Amino acid sequence: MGIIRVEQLCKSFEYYEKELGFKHSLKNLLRRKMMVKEAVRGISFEIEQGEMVGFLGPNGSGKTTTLKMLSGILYPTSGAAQVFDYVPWERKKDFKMQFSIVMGQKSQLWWDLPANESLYLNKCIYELEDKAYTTALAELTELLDVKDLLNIQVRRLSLGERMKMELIASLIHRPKVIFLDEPTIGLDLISQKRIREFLKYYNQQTKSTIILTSHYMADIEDLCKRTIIINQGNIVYDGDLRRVNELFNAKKIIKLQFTDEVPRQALAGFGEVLEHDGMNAVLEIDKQDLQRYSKLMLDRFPILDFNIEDIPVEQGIESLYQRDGVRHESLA
Amino acid sequence: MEYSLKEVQKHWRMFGIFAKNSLIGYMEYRANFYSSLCMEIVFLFSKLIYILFVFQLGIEINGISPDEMLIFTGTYTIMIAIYTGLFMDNFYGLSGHIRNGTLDMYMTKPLSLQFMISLRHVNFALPIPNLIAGITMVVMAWQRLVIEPSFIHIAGYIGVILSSTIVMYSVLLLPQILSFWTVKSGSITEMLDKCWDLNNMPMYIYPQWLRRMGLYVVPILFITNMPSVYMIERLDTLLTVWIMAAPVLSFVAVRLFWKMALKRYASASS
Repeated sequence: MGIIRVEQLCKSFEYYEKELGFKHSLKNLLRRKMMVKEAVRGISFEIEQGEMVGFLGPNGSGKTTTLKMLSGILYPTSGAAQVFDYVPWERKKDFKMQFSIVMGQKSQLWWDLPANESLYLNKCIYELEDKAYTTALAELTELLDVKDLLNIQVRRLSLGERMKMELIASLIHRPKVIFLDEPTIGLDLISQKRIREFLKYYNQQTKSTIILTSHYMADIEDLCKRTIIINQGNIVYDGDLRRVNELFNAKKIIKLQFTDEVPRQALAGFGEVLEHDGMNAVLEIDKQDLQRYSKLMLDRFPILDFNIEDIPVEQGIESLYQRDGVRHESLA
Repeated sequence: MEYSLKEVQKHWRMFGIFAKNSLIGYMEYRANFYSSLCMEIVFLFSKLIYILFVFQLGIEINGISPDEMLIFTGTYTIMIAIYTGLFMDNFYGLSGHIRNGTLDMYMTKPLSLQFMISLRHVNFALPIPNLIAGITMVVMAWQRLVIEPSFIHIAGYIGVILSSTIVMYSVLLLPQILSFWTVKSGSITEMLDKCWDLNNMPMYIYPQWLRRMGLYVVPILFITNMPSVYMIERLDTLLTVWIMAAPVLSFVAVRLFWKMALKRYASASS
């Protein structure tokens, strides 16, 4: 039986709409039309101990809302969930002692204090023995290479350094379940890679169960064998990441910048022209033709800049829908 | 949250660490610390001039002599020090936590969320002048009234101050909790701040209906009047019982309201 069990979990939020302008503000002051957004629509899954599962999906797809329910921050509208036999939103102390959540955009560190003060605070909150704390701190700071930064005020740290401190603060009590919500958001590529390497090592060493949400393909690709793709509050895919990768990697995006104007027709033979304004163009081409077409284009056109990118996650998901025949209205 | 002796001890220890962290934070911004201190001293002086004026007139109000009035004002000033030192910054921050979703991280910690939100920051600059002035006024009036400074009397006064502190915590936190529904709570806070000013003068100057409301319904008048009433020996049996019951009832009320409100929490975009 899985360590995390989710069954038909739903979450709706109430909100109000306001059209542009003062007139509508005035109208809203007297009477507002309540709207309901179904952020999560009856999702079900199970996660085994030690698994590292990636939640993938576009903005607003319900990834973070799901994590917030699993960590007890939000009450669901309906459905059930259990994390080591606890109902998360009952917020039992024993449950809180065993898990951790890291949110890329929310900090738990005291801004004006050196990170070591916040870490010590967590030591006391999680009732850690001195020895356990010292060992964990030494190990985590060594792994993330931030030993020398412990005494520096948090507000003076770079985003990458701060994120590493956030991770240490969340892992100092050696949680058995870790929810990571966009832990690499806003970080440069080197910092992203460092954090990914750390998470991989940590998962292998501690056999902790990790759920990672991200819309960076590289995060999931590097870390998770299993991926759950969520879109518009529904699970549209749950399985081996390699199968998703086949779809995502079937095509590539090429972004071109020219020194002189290049007509659209000249580019059409290489693939689908997604955007074009004469001096810039975005093309979608088959991966198998990438090398050949890249060389041809570089030879033929006055190219100032040339970029090859993966298909955006949203587009990959759309491909997945079409192949699996899952019905959907539109992508967020 | 579990209620056990171990948990109580843990929360006390955590409060000590919060206070220490706040102090370290203050030390980082010395200019802000000194300017807050100066601002509070100026406010205090303006209040003292007004008190001095009333005191020099020597008028008795409803049987309260100017010396007894000084006890009320001194206690009021001490209670302001306790409020600004322990609660104000935290209470005012609650709606921000709800609006920005910063409550999320606190919610996952194995510590009482209400405790963490309402006692996380201790202000060290604002209460200092009020505390010194308040204690001075009470001691001065105490001497002039020739009340015997026995241990029982002092301990009793401190006990009633504690009871008032719990009532103050509950009464002033309660409207802030409405932020879970309204998100912004500026006008409610403003309204309560004005009601708080009713404590500026002894409750005996107000009509009886207002006094009863301020003592038993929304016990805002309880906060500064009870320690003073104890000191000038005007306590009757009902008030004595109420001094013990009000903190329990008001704390239970605020705790239940907090738990109910938490179910409304919808977090914020992240």
